[in-house]
Amino acid sequence: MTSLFAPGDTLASRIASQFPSALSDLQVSSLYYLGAILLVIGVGANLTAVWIANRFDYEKRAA
Amino acid sequence: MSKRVELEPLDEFVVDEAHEFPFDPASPLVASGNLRRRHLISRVARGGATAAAYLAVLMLGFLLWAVISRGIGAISWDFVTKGPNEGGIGPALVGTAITVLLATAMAMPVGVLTAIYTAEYAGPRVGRLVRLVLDVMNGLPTILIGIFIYAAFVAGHHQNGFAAAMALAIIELPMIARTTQELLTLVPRALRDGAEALGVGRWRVILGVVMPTVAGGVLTASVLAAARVAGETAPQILVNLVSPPEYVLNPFADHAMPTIPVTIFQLSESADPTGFQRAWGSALCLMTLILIANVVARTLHNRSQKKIESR
Repeated sequence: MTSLFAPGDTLASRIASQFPSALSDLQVSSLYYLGAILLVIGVGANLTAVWIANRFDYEKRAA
Repeated sequence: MSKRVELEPLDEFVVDEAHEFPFDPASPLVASGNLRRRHLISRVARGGATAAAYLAVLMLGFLLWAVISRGIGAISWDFVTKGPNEGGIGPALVGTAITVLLATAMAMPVGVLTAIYTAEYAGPRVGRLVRLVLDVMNGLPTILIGIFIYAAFVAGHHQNGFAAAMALAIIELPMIARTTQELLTLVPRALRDGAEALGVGRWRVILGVVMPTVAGGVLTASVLAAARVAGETAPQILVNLVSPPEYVLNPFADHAMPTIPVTIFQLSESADPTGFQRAWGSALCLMTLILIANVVARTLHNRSQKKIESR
């Protein structure tokens, strides 16, 4: 349950495992919601990465 | 009467063993305690870096060994040509080839044109924005692309190979576009200047001078992108899962096209123990194809590098 060594789920693995066999509209919508959360995390992480890369850009810092 | 300047003895400048300023330039270069510590730190850091590099190679070795030792028993002519009912993965091999080729055929022109626009035509602000979008796209979890294709093209219709190809194309697009952009910035200024000095139009310079220089690199990037997406499983589970146990050659059919990653996923999920060996065998086939693609890409890359350098 709260152990790293117990079987667990990630956002991506839950979408992959439940989407093909989703039973109700509510379940499908919930999985889309998981996708939306994953999208926000993904875009946020990538924008942070670009921001960090820009801070260490020597050419821009020299200018 | 001339006044003699008294030089102070050098010994008085030496503050301590660690040679802080002001230090004596004439003092003998012997290892102080500080130097020994620095040597030790250097050795530890170097050892750590070397160990990490060997560990990375070792991981690939373990992975190759695990897949080969378990998969080699499944490989036979029947295995790579027959359908799943006879215990083979022929349809999946053909399906993977079709979806990946379709995806690359869709992603390559769009990616190359995107790169040409941002590198040659767009202003600095638009160019930066497009680069940012491509970088973000490159880092998105691929299952999101699967869910998007599912919502846009599969829900209410059918799963098919073309939906999978579209998902793979979206994954390939930023890889090809970003690499081509980087290549375009490396094209020597003199080449363009020469062509423009002859009064050649902008599009003609790009088509006749710039593109031939980067063609090898673009091909390399496309092969690498294709090899990357050949094993992409997550989006295919959503848009290309349930396929008949036979050869599917029509990507627009009203059912899915069998592919290697999906086959591995299904075989390893099933309770049938003979399925595991077929899953390992499929993994070995996929790995071999990807290794071949990487070797081909490397050869192409080396040839195009020589071409740019010789100019």
